[in-house]
Parts: sequence; structure tokens; C-alpha cells
Amino acid sequence: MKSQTAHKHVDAARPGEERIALLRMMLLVRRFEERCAQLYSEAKIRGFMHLYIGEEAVAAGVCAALGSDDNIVATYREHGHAIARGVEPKFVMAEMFGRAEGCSGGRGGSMHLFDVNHRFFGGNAIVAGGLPIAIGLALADHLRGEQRVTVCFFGEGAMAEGEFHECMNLAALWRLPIIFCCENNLYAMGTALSRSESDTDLPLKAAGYNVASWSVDGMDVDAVHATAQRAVLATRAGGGPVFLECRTYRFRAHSMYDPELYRSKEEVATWRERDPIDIATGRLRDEGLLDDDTLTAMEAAITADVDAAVAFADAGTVEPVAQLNRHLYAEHV
Amino acid sequence: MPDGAASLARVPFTMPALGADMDEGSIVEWLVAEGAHVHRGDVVAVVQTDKNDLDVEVFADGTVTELVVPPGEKVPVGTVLAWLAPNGAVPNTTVASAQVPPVSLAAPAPEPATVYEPTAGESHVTSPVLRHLAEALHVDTAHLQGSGRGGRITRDDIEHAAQPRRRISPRARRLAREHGVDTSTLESGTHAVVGEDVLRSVSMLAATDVRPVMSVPAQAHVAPRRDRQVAAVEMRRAISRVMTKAWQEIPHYQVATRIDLQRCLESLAALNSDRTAATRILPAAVFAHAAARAATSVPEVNGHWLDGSFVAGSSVHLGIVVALRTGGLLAPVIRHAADKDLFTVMDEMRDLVTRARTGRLRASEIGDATITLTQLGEGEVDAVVPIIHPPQVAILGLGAIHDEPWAHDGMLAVRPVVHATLCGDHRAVDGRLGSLFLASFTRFLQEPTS
Amino acid sequence: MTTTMTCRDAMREAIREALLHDDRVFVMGEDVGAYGGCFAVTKGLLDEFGPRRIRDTPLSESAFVGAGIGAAMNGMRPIVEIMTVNFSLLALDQIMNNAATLRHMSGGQVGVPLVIRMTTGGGRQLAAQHSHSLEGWYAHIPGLKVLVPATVDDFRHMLQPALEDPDPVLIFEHALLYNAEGNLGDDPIPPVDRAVVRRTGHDITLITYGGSLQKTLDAAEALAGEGIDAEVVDLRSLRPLDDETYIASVRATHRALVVDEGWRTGSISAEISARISEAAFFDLDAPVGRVCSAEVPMPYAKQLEDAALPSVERIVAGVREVMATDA
Repeated sequence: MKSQTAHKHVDAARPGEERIALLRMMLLVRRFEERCAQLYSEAKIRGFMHLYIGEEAVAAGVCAALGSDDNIVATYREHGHAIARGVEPKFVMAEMFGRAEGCSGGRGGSMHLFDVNHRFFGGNAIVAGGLPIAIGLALADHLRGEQRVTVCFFGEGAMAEGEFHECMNLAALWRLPIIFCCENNLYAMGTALSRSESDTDLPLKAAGYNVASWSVDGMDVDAVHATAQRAVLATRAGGGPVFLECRTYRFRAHSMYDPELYRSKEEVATWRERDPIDIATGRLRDEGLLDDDTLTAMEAAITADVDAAVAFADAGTVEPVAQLNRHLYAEHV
Repeated sequence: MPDGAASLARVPFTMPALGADMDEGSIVEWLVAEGAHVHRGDVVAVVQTDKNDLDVEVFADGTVTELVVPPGEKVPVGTVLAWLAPNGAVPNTTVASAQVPPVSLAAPAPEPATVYEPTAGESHVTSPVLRHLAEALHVDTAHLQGSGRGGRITRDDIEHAAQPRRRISPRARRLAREHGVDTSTLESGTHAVVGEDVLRSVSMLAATDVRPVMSVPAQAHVAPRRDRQVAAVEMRRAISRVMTKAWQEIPHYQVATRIDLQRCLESLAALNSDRTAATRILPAAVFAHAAARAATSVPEVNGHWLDGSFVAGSSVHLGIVVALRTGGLLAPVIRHAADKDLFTVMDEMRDLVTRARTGRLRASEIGDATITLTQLGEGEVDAVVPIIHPPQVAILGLGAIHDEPWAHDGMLAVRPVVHATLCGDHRAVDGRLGSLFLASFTRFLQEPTS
Repeated sequence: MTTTMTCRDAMREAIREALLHDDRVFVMGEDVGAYGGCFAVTKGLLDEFGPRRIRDTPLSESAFVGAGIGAAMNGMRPIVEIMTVNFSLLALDQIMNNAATLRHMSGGQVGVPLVIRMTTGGGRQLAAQHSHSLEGWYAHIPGLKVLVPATVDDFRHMLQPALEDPDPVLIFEHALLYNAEGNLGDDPIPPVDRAVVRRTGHDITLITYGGSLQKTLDAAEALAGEGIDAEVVDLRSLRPLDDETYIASVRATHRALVVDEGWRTGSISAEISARISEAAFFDLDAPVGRVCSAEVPMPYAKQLEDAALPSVERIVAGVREVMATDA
């Protein structure tokens, strides 16, 4: 499906294609997430669900800078990252419907999406829990002389956890090829950054570990993409880890059940004026690279993709209860 | 793909699931009225749940045709709150599914509590619960002093009055069930009744399997003839039962030997030279004594096969088979036979055999043998191949003493010979041990008084 | 031909052999390299294998255990050494929420072939924060395997199957066993998930593991003098538990006592007692006894610590109690 190819590198003769691909990816993630909200309301998706709406530029921009052999570790707000990485929406949807066809066999749910074929190593419900895993993935590549880069996505809330500090230190000490991508959306669930961090200059904090630390406007997919490309180049070449703060904002609540008492509707409205999709669309239109017909066609195709994903999930297999004890240990053939 | 969505007359707007633990909610306020045009993403109502008030959005474009649920009414997730007439804009697959069945996660209604109200001021038990308890514990409450208010009988009173429940281990209960033993008849001293206690009782019963003869006053009495006949029939049955079981279950093997008794009988004659007829030592006693001593030197033949393994006897309790004139047999036991001298063995044997034949044995004298000796000394038979008495693992059978040809120093002699056959339970005793026993028995016979 | 060596040397040999034969194996932990290992298990290995493979880490249990997890996910076979089980609490999130759980959460896609070695147990007057026995706790967690070697043979030969296991294996080494000497046999050891009868007997089954094995054997000797013939079962693995072996023993002896250095409440001895009750209730002549650590934080003073830990005296007394079940 065309919407899946956003992360492939496009030749420089047609730079607009790459940027249109980025927009397409953001739109796919946006429509997918909007549909998830509806399905959750209809009780078809259960448990906890954390939507990525508003932050699409980060996943789309960073994942487009990676090679297919690179590693990704993400958080529980990872639908966008999985899709941007190339995991087909139908497998993500099936996972959230709890079907055996889901990317984690229905065993993980929204917070534990895995796809080893795409080197997408989850989905983690413990804040900062994925950082040590990222260290390990990078360590293995480092020991074996592999040219892979590991990207570890986390929210700014993770910077309060001890594991963040241990991992920054270790990554710098061992010069591991990791990009610590901090999606700073200003709120750790309901706690604003200023109420939890003694110093809200996050790159400064990271630089204290002797790690190259950058910051980028997370609502501008082109900026994110360009910065990510530079970070990947630097890290892959053996320059050690990079800390990349992406300043972004989630337009919806922390999870489906969150009355958002901790922030004002005005603040949300202000940030919505910087919707990454609007920014990208506007820019592409201004440069004559995008017209209404293309956009309409894009939306129609994406709607079809999402509809297909839902139908696939709906028709999926409910794993028999007798198989409950599978996947505790390796199943030997 | 439902491109026919636009042609649907109406689309439901249902109570959304807004969290992992939300089962129901109520509308606080409708933010639209019937007839209002709405777009997907518009907030149309405020919903109250257990935890919070939340803005709720609609997922389709259209016109509100009917508000179904009024504010304040609590409804389960999935209930239709309002109907929309869609514009036929972006088709929505979820529209195709009809009424989403409400997720019923409400807890089942609690069962009415059963309450027992004891009436005050009466001393007999009116509470059904306590009456039942008293019955179960075999407590007669009519004569119970109540310690509760107004002399009421309390639970404590009943439990206190109940006989303490005998401690019987799970294994003992199982074995008792399997062997048909009444646990109230088991003796265990100060410790809880355990498996061994049951098995011991089983072995006692197996040895006799007759109605136990209760201890009787010192004077002899002979039971009436009819009773003796009945007892004899029952004994026959019991013996047949035990012997059949033994033959079927125990893998018997035999080792046999002929024993030259010349020296033995010469020693015996010397011993008896200054004794009266009534106090003479009989060969039977010599055999018994030698068998007991041989059993201490080969302890593997002395004990019981219980619950799958051999339990060695702590002493040699020698069962001696006594044939009864009425038919049938008994096997009274000389306890600690190896620790007694020949004269004591003789005296006990004389006493036991007499009382066996007159039906005056005590129950404690006919159980617990760790090895048995059977002799058919009165008949013409050379050898006897006896059947082991379970749960013992060996039995020594002796034929009559006959003069037989005997090779000695290359010359043919005639000696008094007895044929000795040891039958062993192959699960516990192998042939080698049986042979060792017979060799030991033979040795002890050569020196009857040592 | 048998050689004599300490459990420490045996484990070192095992690690060395693994490093020599499989270049995916590397050791990671605090002071495993330059210091030579807190308990000298890895002494000399840095010189032989270099700092990439004998990797000293900062004091970051969560990060380096997680790193072991990630490295295992990505093709390596790390041996992570957590200095003691006491410090493993800092990595409990990684062990339980990642290592034990990744295979299941990913629907079978991700395996974590990681070995974590930890020193465990009390008895050296190291007081409350350095004397825990938490192997029973870890045995509670599905997705993990828990090994508890008690003999030189097991210290020498349990590591290899643990490294070959595609799932995470925790090996708990009792601190007091490092100096214990024993004969290294020529025969292969039984499979690591099987218990072994170390002493046969028919009056009572004593079930134990790890640092408590020798005390239990000593108690059995003492009891023999009193005419009580005890059978001793060495569990060797706490997850999975080899029910078959100890249940068969209890069925034959009809009495059991578990010796476990963990605190009594909610311990692995409670689990074993429950399983005996489930599988062999009708073969029991007495309730299952337990000798565990007293439920206090481990005190420093010697006589208090000795009183808190299982001891030969307490085991003997416990057995007498089981044998004498009163009416």
C-alpha cells in the first residue's frame, strides 16, 4: 500500500515526494488514531489506550530517517511509531482488538505492540522501562560491529526515572549508537513538566552526561526529519549517543479516560493552531507540491486503509483459552 | 464496505466506554438539541461516570433526530443515547453494526444474608446453626450448662462439650478405608493414629481373622458345643480367606534342606534325663527356639511387608501354628522368642498350645508375629510347603522326624532327619537369604541349648 | 578420577569454558573485571578475555540488567552478574516486567536468552540489607527459570544449560558455598530442572536446596544416631520445581519437612508444602514441617543471626516434631 512507503528513501531528484510521503504518514497515523478513539468508545478496544494525535511529526520524521535494519524501542503511546516504522495498520488494529492476527498475537494490546521483522521492539508500559533494553540492543550491535542505530522513544516524564540517568551515563560511557528521542509534550499524564523537573531545559540535563544534545520543533515534520537524519549519521559513524528533544504536544487526553483537569482548553486550542499536519499541508501547498485533488485522493486512500484494518481486525481469530500457557517459554519444534 | 451507509435512516449515538473500568454513566447535560446539525468530533454531551465528568464527542456528521436518554439517568455503556440522521458524508464501517450490545459488567446482586437470631433468656438451643453443630458433634444439649446471657447455650459451650476429635492421619484414614478397619478400634498410645497402626491391626486380623477371643478368667471353661461348631465354620472361612489372599498376592519361593538331628536329639535326651514327662523339652520347642535364633541372624526374614516395603521386626515374635481338633488352626505367638532360653520357650509353647486347643487364647497372643513356624510332626508327611501368613515375609515348615539314609564320611548311615522348607516372600527375601536362614537354623539345631 | 575444587572455582571454570566456546557470551556486572569479582568468581578472566567481554559496569543495576536483556534479544548470550540478590531489587522492574514478560507480550516473537547470576543468603553478619534469600520470590514469576546449585558438580555444570536456554535463567549462588570444597565427578549432572536424592532414608523426607543442603545432610546424620532415617532431596531448581521426585519420596516415607532459608510466610517452602498436600495428602502421617528463617530483618549480632537462620539443631528439632505428631 502506498501509505506504507513513507519511510523509504526517495532519490534527491524528486525531493517533494519525500515530503509528501511524510505528510501521508502523518495523516495515516492521525486517521488511524481517530478511528481508535471511536472504537474504544464502542468498547471494541479495551484496557488502556494512549493516542498520538498531535505528535505525528515526531514518529514520521524520525522513522523516515532510519534504515530497515535499525532498532526501535518505544513507549505505550506507540501506535504512530509502529505504523511509521512499517507495521501494517491492520496488524496493529487486530492487536488492539485482541485477535490472534495482531502483531503481538493479541497478547499485548495497545501498549505492547511488537514486530521483530521490522525491528520494532515494543511497546512498554513502564515509563523509562524501554531505555535499558535500548542500551542492550545497541550494546550487542556495538560488540558485533554491526552498523545499526537504535532509536529509543520516550516522553519527558521518563527523565525523572532513575533508569533514564543510568542509561544516559552508560550510553555515553560505552559510546553506544543510540538516539534518545525525547518527545516532550509538556505533561507526564497530568503533571506539567515545570512541576516535576528542577530544570526544564532537557537537552542541558542530557548534556550533563556528555551526550550530544539537540532540540527541535516537534510539530515541524521537515525539521524533525532533517535533524533525525543528522543524528542518525552522527551516531552510526561512531559518534556516540545523541539526545534529541522533540518539542511537541498531544491534542487529546493522556489516555481515553482523562478529564484533562490539569490543562486549560485555551492552551490546547493554541497548540492546535500548530497542528503538524496543517503545517506540512500548508507548506506543500505554498510550494505548489500539493493540490486539493491529491489531498482528497490521499485522504480517501487512507480511509480505505483504515476501514480495511478495522474489517481485518473484526474478522480476526479469538485465540482459544486452552492456549493460555503459550509463550511463557520458547516452544521447541 | 458499506457505501450504503448514507442510505441508512439513522445512526445510534451510544454511551461510550471511556476507560478500562467504566461500566455505566449518565448524561449531565445535552449540549445539542433535537434537530441540531453536528459534525464528527463535536462535543454533544457531558457524561458523568463514577470518577469524573467528561466531554463526549460524536463520530459522524448528521442531524440529531432524537435524544433518547434524559440527563440524570444512569445507563450501561453501549446504550443508545440519541439518534442521528447521517449526511452520507464519510462512510463509517462501524455504522453498519447495529446496536452495540451493552457491556454488562455490573456485579451480581448480593445474596440476602442469612441471619440467625438466638432468642434471649432461654437455656435450650433455639438457633438452628447451633442445633446443627450440636448434632454434628454428638453433644446432648439438654444437659448442657449454658454460659451465655440468661443461661443461653453458646457455640463455645457445645464445642467444649464435644468429644475431642481423634487425630488420625490422612494415610491412616485411607488405609483404614481400604482394609475395612474401624478407626475407633485402633490403639496408638499418645501419638496420632498413623498408617502403621492400621497396618498392624490388619496384620493381626489377617493372622486370625476370627472374632477375637476376649480375655477370660483364669479357670478354664469349654464353650458349649454348638458355639464351638459355629466358631469352627467361621474359622474355616477366615482361614480360607487369608490363605487365598496370601497365595494370590505373595510371590512365594521355597528353599529346602534336610537336617541331621542326631546331635540335636542326643543333646535333648541329655537335657531331659532328669525331667519328668510333664516338663520334658520337646523337639518342637527346640525347633522353635532355633528358628527364633536363626531369625535374629538373618533379620531380613523377620518382619512385615507393609504398604510396599519391608518393615523389619524389632524383635522375633515367633508364630507357631497349632492345629485344632475341630479343624482349622491358630497361630499363637511367642513374643521375643529369640531372647528367651529353651526352657522358657518350651513352657510358653506348652501353655499356648493348650490354651489354643481349648479356645482360651487372648487376642494379644494371636497377632503381630514376625515369622511363623509350622510343624506337621504328628503325621507321616516328610515335608510341608506352607503358605506365608501376610504381612509376614517368611514361614518355616518342618515335616516329621524320620530315620533316613545319610551319607557321612563316604559311608552310608541312618540318621534322624527332618525336612525343613523355608517359604519366602520374594518381594522382601531372596533365595540367598532363605538359604542363609536355613543354614543358620541348622547350626542352631546342633547346639540346642547354647 | 575426581578432582577437588571449591564451588567458586567450579563456577569460574564454567564461565571460562562458556567464554572460550561461544563468542556470543560475555560477562557484565559491577566489579567483575578489574576487581576480580566481588566474590572472586571472575578473577583472572579480564586478563584472559579483555574488557569487551568482561565488562565492568557502573552502579546501575536497572540499566545493566536491562542491557543484558536487550543484548540477549539482539543475538548475544550475556551472563549478567548482580553482585547480590539484595541489589537485584533495583533491577526487579527489568527482570519481571521485561525479561520474564517480553516473550509473552510479543506473542512469542521476542526471546530473552539471558543468564543472571546472583549471590544469595545470610550467615556472615552482614545485617539486614545484605542477607536476603529471595530466590523463592523470583520463583513466583512465570517466564523465568530459577536454579539453586548446592554442589561443586552443579556449580560447574549448571551454567551451560542455562546459557543454552532460550529464556531467562536466574542462578542463585549461596555466599557460604563459594568456599565449600567438593569432588568434581566425571559424570554429567542430571538435567538442571530435576531434583536429586542426596541421601536415601525411609522415615521422613527432608526437602531443601542451595545453602541449606549441607545443614540438612548434617542433621540427617545426627538423626540417624537417634534411629530416625531421613531421606534428603536437593531441589536444584525452584522454578520449575521437580514435583515428581520429592512427591515420590514423601509417598514412601509418609512424612516431610522443608528447609528453606527464605522467610517462612509465602516462601517456596509454603509452595512445596501445598503441593505435597495436593498430591500426597493420603500418604501423609503428619503435617508437613518447615524450617525457615525467622521473620525478622537479619540482625547483625552473631547469636541473633544464628538463631534466625535454619541450623542443624533447628532441623533436628523440626524432624522430631514431625515424627512425634501428638494425638
